[in-house]
Amino acid sequence: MQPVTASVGAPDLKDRLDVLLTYLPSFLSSHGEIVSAVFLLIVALAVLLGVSVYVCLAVWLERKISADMQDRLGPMRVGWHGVVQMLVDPVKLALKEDLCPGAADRPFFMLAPFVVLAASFATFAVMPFSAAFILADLDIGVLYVASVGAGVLVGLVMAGWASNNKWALFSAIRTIAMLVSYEIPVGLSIVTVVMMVGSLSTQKIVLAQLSDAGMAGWHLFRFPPVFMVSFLVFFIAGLAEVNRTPFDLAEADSELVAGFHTEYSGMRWSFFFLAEYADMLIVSMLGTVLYLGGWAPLTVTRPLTIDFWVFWGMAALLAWYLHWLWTRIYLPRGEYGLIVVQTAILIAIALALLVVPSLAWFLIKSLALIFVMMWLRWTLPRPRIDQLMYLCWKVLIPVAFVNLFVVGVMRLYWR
Amino acid sequence: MTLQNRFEDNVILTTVDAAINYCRASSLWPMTFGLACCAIEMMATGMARYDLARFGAEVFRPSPRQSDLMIVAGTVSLKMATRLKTLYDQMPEPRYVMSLGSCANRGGPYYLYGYHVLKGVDRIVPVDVYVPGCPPIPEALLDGLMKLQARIREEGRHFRRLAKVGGETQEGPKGA
Amino acid sequence: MQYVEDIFRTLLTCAQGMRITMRHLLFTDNITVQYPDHKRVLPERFRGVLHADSTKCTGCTLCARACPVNCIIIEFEGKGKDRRVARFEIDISTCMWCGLCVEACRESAIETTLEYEISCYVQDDMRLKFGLGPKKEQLPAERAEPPAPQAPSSGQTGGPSTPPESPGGSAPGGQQP
Repeated sequence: MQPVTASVGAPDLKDRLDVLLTYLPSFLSSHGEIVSAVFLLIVALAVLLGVSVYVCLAVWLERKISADMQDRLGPMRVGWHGVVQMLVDPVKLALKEDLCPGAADRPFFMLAPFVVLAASFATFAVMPFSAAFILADLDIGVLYVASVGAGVLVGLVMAGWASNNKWALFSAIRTIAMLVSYEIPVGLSIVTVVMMVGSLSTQKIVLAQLSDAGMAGWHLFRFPPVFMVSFLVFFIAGLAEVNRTPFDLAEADSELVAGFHTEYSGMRWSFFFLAEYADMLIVSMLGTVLYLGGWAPLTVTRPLTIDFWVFWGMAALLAWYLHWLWTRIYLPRGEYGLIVVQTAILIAIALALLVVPSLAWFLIKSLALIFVMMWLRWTLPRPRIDQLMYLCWKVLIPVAFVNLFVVGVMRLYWR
Repeated sequence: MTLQNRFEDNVILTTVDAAINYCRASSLWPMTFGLACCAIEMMATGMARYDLARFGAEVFRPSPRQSDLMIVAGTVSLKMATRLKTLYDQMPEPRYVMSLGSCANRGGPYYLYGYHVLKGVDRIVPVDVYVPGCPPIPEALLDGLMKLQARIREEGRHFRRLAKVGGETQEGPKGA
Repeated sequence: MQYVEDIFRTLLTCAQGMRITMRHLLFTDNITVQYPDHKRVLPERFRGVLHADSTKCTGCTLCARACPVNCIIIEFEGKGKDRRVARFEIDISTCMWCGLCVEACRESAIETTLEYEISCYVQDDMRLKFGLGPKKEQLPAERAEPPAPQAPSSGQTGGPSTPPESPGGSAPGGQQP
């Protein structure tokens, strides 16, 4: 039976293909917006996939880095040095029972993780990965990030309320208090940069920092130390925005069981997790765009500039450290695999810097900020909620306002 | 696996089973749940010298909803027993229980005269692996974890999980 | 001014903490003993699982009486000169590793070992059954099997890795049927 249908179907299919191939080009040429929409969809999916891969990688890296900071080893037995761990955890989470408590508000409970995920992933639309690679170069890009990113808050509050659990509700209240408060210093720091550039478009902000001077053109080094303080305020408040330790009051497991996601299990919980790491990336990327020159590459080949000294100085430092690490630790233990992998990573980074310099620099800067976040997380304890509020309202906001005023005055008399 | 009863074992199903079981065994997230001195050893196991993280099991989840493994570490008093049962009921499947130490195994020092102690946690929840010791040293906990992992990897092939509490035949061979 | 001083101290102490973590990340070697591959050298007087040497045991039940939780079960059969140990079990699920039985034993028949890998899947595996004494072997015709333990069918459970019995004392009816 099978061959007969196949032989009958084949010419039919071929006819259809012919028709398609004949009319598709003319159709597409007359409907250019469809092409661009499909293209955008593909790129968006690629970004989505990239972010998901990044989350898996970042979780594994965080486990390894935290382990190393505590003189441990971290995941070792699941694959080589626990590499398979990043595949194993999502599979396990996906296959875990999806619970909805009987007393919960079922529709909102089910919906909340998707709101959080959608809000945090939507912000990637305006991230300028390179001069050409940006999904949507909105005129209000930074405002878009701040406002759509605040959609996460809605999801978290939904989760906290719908769980019908007192810990979750407490956590939701804390989340509101925290996120709404910390929006202000973040916004004020953003405004300082926006005042310098005169535009809210992320791409224009990056272009304003793009110069032959390289690093010296970054906003971070404008009017020192004004923008450094601004960056500090942005980064600290950004940490609080993404509920990251030391500001993870919303999911403080010593006080509130697991915060707003106390009642979530399996896949839905992993969405929160995904969103948290995606948020980290967003804050890092935004910080990179606003202060660290975005995708603007360092002018490392021009001798005797600041960039040259910084880059090659760090490279020399890295080389010295790796030499120390390999000869003192790895070689005596016979861990040749680690040496090979580290060399391969270094070569890959160098290649990426040569082939796609903008994208590579952007990612390197963002990931460096993410590393600082992890570094802070495994260093600092969690403050009390009143200390957190004190930090925001009595320290960060006044400092941000003074900064704003100073930048305004500078801007007035600079030109 | 739920598919177990519907299809004959074939290469695909057993491979998928094996892969899933590997994932589950390699990512056993315990619940932050310690009752007595055994919990101290459990914390020591999480610390640098023994490092539970090597097994991918260092993610101590505070909420039972997100944890896979309940390490009953310590004396289960009768008052705690109800909470323990609640916590176990709150965990989503697949869930595993490790009975750590003599107290959880059979009341331990309170076996004879402990009017307030549950004589064995397996009277209220099905236990997957028992770790004797008073308290067990961290290596013993790791050994128990590895035996649990070995058992999870065999799940659906040689074991089936029966949610029967208290009986000694709660986990039986497949053919029995 | 206290306010400004607080801010600077916060930043300073954060930097100090970060310096410490970075030092541990980069330069301090990790101290993890990778357990199943490498094992820690246990101290000499480590109290591991109990082991009873049935060749030395006289069946005086001093250990059973010394046990605060009655986890040593000794049963006899026969009377007078034929009286012999029919069953010697240590229920390590209850044992609290206090070592009182070791101190009580005059023949040094019961002692702690360095063994600790004894986790198992069923309660009954924690009931360590030690072989019968030498008197039993002198009477092969009357040998009575100890009450057949509710042993798990081998192959599935893996069984507890009980301390190996000394070859002289391995009598029939050991822990693994």
